[in-house]
Amino acid sequence: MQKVKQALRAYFESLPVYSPALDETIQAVVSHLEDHYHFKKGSIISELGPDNNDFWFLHEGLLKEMYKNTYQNNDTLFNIIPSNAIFVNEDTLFLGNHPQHYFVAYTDVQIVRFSQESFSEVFEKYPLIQLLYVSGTAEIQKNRRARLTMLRMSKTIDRVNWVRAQRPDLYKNMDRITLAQYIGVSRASLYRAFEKNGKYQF
Amino acid sequence: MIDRIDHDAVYNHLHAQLRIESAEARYKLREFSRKFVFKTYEPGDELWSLTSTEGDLHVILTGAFGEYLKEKKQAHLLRFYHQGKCAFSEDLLLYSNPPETITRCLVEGKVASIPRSQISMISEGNDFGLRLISGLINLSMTEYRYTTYEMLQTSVEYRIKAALEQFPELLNVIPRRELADYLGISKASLFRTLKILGDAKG
Repeated sequence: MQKVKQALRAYFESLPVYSPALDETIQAVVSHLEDHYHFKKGSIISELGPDNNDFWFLHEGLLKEMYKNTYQNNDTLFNIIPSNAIFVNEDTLFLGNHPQHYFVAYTDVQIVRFSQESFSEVFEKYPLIQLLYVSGTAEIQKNRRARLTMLRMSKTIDRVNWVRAQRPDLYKNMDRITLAQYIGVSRASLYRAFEKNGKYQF
Repeated sequence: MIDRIDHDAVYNHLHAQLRIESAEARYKLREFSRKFVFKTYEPGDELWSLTSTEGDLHVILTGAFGEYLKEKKQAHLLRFYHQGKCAFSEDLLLYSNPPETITRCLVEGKVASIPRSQISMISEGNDFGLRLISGLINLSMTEYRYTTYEMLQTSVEYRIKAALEQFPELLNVIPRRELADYLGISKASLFRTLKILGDAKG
């Protein structure tokens, strides 16, 4: 658990809003972390049920964030959550709605819960936790905007190069099918782009 | 009288988009809504540009606007704002950074605006400002999520349909060349698919 606490502390310290004034608040959050859960590759993270509005920290491994693609009538990759990142049931937490997304372990994973009750408890004593909350969500929002610029690139190989340069942590761990889904192209298009450019993923 | 109606519209739009629950917060939101000022925009007028220094929060009462991301010498359409939407430069309003985007009027409309300095003044000493900022970030994240859904469609037809679902007036207000760029597809592919969709409609 000590390693998880260190990793969460490092995550908060990496946020642009971080200053030593937040140390006490961060310590309070870290000391409220609950037991960690392990999931094997391919498992659905059942802890994030429809009513779950807790905060979760992915300490080890990668998670696939999936959604129901109503046009293609199948479940599609929305995003990959890297290690040492926070993830939540966004619809439940932000909008009070039934979640449209669910999470699947892409590798073996270890996750830790910071419950909504703990958030309220820490907030009573350390209102600066709101600042961590805002800054954490702002980071997710910035990443989404950056990824959208990639998804608008008309050449598949440009999208691949973007992932390789901007998200090497994901690129080196993704198989080709997942990479194709992540950049919003078919598997055939991705293969063609690699062939045409004489480049391969690794 | 007209101003009263417009201020009510600002309140209603903000209330619909931000999760403001308590009676006290709603009262503050009502007060906040009364500080907005109104302006009419013609096509081509800018809501904000790369040289803007003040991060205003805008509520679109009528009309439509496009936000463009400037990369090298090209500007790419990033997203749309239409009636009832909040529009703001995330760089300016949330992160106090120089803006990377420009927002232009596409269809003549009326906009209610409040400068960031006023938001800070109103929110000083209470948590309304933090709630507002947090609400705006969540809003932005959700919008990017829906745009990501569009861009993850591997079929051009589905991509167009998903975009139209978000912004039904899309085909009437965006020139085809820009639309192809927005959707990350070639112009030929856009024309071909629109023809098929048009033929299917009869």
